[in-house]
Amino acid sequence: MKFEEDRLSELPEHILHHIFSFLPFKQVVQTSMLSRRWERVWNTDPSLEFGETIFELDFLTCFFLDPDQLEEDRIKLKKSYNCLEQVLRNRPMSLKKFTLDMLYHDLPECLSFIDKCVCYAIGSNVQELKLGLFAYVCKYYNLPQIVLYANSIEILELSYCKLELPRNNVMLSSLRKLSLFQVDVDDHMMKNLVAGCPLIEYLHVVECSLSLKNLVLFGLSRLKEIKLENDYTLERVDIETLNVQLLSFSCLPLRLINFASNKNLRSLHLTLVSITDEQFCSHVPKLPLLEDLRIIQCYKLKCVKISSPYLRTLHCVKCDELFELKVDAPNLHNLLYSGDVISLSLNAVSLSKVDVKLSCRNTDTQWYLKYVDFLAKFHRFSEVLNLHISTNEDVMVPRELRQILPSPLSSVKHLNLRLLGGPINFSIKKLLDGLLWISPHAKSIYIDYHDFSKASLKFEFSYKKQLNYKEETISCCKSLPVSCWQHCIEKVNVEKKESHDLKGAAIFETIDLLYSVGDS
Amino acid sequence: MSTPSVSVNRVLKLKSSDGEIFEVKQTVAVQSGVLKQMMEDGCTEGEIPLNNVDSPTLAKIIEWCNKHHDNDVEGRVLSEEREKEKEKEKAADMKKWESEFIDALNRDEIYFLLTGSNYMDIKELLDCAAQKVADMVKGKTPEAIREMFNIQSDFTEEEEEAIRKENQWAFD
Repeated sequence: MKFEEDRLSELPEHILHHIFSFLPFKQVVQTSMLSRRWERVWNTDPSLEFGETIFELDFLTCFFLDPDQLEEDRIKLKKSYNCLEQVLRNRPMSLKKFTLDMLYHDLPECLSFIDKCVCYAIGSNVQELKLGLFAYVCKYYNLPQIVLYANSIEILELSYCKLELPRNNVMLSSLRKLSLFQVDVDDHMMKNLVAGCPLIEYLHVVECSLSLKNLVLFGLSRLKEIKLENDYTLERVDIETLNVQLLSFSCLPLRLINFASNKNLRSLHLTLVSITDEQFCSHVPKLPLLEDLRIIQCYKLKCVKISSPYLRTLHCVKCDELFELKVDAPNLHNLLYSGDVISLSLNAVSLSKVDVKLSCRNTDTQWYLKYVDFLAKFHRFSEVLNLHISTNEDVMVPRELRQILPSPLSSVKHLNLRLLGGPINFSIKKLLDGLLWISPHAKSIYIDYHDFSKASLKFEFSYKKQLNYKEETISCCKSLPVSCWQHCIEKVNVEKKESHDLKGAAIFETIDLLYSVGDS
Repeated sequence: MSTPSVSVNRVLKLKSSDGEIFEVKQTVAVQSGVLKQMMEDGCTEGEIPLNNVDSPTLAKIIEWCNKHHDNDVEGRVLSEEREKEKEKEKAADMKKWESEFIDALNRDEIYFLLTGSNYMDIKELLDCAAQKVADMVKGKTPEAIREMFNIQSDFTEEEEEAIRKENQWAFD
């Protein structure tokens, strides 16, 4: 053991740097005293990360509750700052990536520490700068202006910073990705900022809701992705760029919205955006290459028409006021619908996967009629239907209606049912009977309870080829276009998986019953 | 990411530094950035010499790649949430396999795996091996690390003291 070679030290420098990235910062500094080789490895590490753990303090308690403790902690904190500053002083200025994740206090020593870190990073021609500050009260760190002229920066992530209009125009000529979280930036500064980033590809603006009211983006031909989230003061968004492919808006109280001229847009995600039917109609049809459209909780939408040749994915989730949805999308593959039943018109020949999550308010006869009609819209298009229902709502069509209505999904081969919420309060047999009415001649039915038991049941059916109508003209099948399942199922294969067998006995009994029905 | 023209059944012949030949399916080999690039460039005819990787290491690397090659095709289309759950389960199984795989190796084997996966550009394997070394180092004093890895200090006592002083905070 003693005479073993020291292979670790012989590893190439960049592999040792990679190992450093899995170690706490203190320990990385400690390795510098192992040997000259290790001192060199530490000095050439291209990535520095000052995380919260370095400071080893419970800030929430020390800064709000105990004034005696406060002074003590402030001294401790000051010491940490001094030491880290010394670490930076002793290290050559060579860095690609600098990350600072810490609590920001409105104290001179804290300010001076962050300033020194930023200056070190900029002086090292850093390519990636992340200032992940956090403050319990609304205090913002005034970003030094040198950051706005740092030509080396390619990725800039800021949080809890305040950006003030610089004397000269912003010049971030290498910047590709800009991410602002809880940043105090006004309209004028924002305009200046993006204008100074000619190569920008990604722009994320999240929770910048102090003074940002208008966001106007023109030109910027390299911009690919724009994400705006929880910017509660934002009233107007005007985006006219050539090559944006993804636009994601979330929780914006917009009064004015314009993105119709982004002809290359592939993905549009709208969550909690106050877009109206008119605005929707004047935008979406003008996006010829749209592939992925998600409208989530857009509470002003009532009637939506989508006609889009390349659309592959459509999510329409909990738009509570929506009563009509018309979709004409020959390339649509995935459809997710969540909400109450609505009037649906669907032309989607390529549809292969449908997820329906129903949340019904009342289940009267009218509702069931609409429900059967709604499901029937899918029967021509998809072989697989995933249906999610809450166990408290009985979406099994009542018997009386089954006698007079045709089964809605006679061509669906695989029906997957997920039961959400509390424990099931109806028998599996009844449930299966209801599902086989919805989708007669299904090849498989999969039932999944998503309660604490996380059980699942899978049924595979094979059917008799020739039906003996002559001998056993059963009254229930006479009036129906497709004979009911009891009279044509030949064999059922049941697979059961359950992590807890709390309800095991009851389920087994039911399956026994099913077997006898199926085989006879 | 562009997928290179790979056919399921074609195999690559990899030659280790000590001359042993290993056959690997193209679909498995794409995990290596270097081999993927070679396939895209269409220069994978004959034996591909890997001069920095010996046969025991290459065997381990191939074992890893075979395990991480995703070949089970789900017959039934699952709902989105179900798919996510399945993925979680699979990821947990994989984590377990990975830690067993790496724990079974001795220190030298891990070093060779580090240089080998670095040379062949297999990021996940490199991460896994680097994490293992980091775990061995974590929480140990410099003296203990020296002893464990047989690192000889070439500092004078004064120099060592100076470094310790400079970074006193890190040793508290």
